[in-house]
Amino acid sequence: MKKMFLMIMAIAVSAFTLTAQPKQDADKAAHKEKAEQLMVVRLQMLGEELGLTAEQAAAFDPVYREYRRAIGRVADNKAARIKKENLTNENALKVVAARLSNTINTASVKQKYLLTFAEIIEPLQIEKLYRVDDRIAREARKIAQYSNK
Amino acid sequence: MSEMKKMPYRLPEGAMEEMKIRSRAAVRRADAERTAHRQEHRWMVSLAAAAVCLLVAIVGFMRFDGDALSDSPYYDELMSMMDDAPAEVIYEMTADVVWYGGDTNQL
Repeated sequence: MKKMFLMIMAIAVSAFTLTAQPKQDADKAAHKEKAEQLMVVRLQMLGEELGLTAEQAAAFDPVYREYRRAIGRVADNKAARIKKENLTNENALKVVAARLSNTINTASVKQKYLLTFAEIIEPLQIEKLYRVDDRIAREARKIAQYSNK
Repeated sequence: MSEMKKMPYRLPEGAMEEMKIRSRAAVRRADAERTAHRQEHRWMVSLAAAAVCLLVAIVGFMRFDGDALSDSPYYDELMSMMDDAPAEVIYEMTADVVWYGGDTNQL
């Protein structure tokens, strides 16, 4: 009886895992696709805003993608995402530390990429690039804040 | 008085005085109404001018943008795509925000 029960449990867990995995993979693929679509439009916008020539855009695109990946890696502390209404005395210090850490790490990546970008675009264009990125980030934050994301 | 004696009808005592008083009062009333209308008209014109100035200021403030991003069609497209993007993707895009930098909205 006990063996039967254990066998049924094992089958149930395997079935659950097998059906959940494709869904997680599908979600990941959908996220990746959406992120790529956004990146394409973002690059088009930057090309226009910075006044990049075709040559500059061709050199800029891969470097910018690499730069965004680097930013994504260092600013990935999920504790920073906790919303104001969910802050408590127990988690506030952790949240503030995570947010400050994200800010410092992101600034560090931006500083590191200054010279890399300077090989492709003018210093004024770099300044504008960082300002535009900041603007996009603030809009994303508003969307995250007001749409229960 | 001698002219009044020649008139074909007789007016009661003090009628002329009363008529003068009434006509002066009527003139004063009419003048007061005209002044009130003029003041009201001035208020409405001032209010309309203030509303127009406020509207122009609001529109100007909304359009004023250090980098004029709002004029870019790619910016509009990006914003509309972000509206229905998954949470994970949106959070990645918030990475550039400086926390506790002074003028940021806090989550």
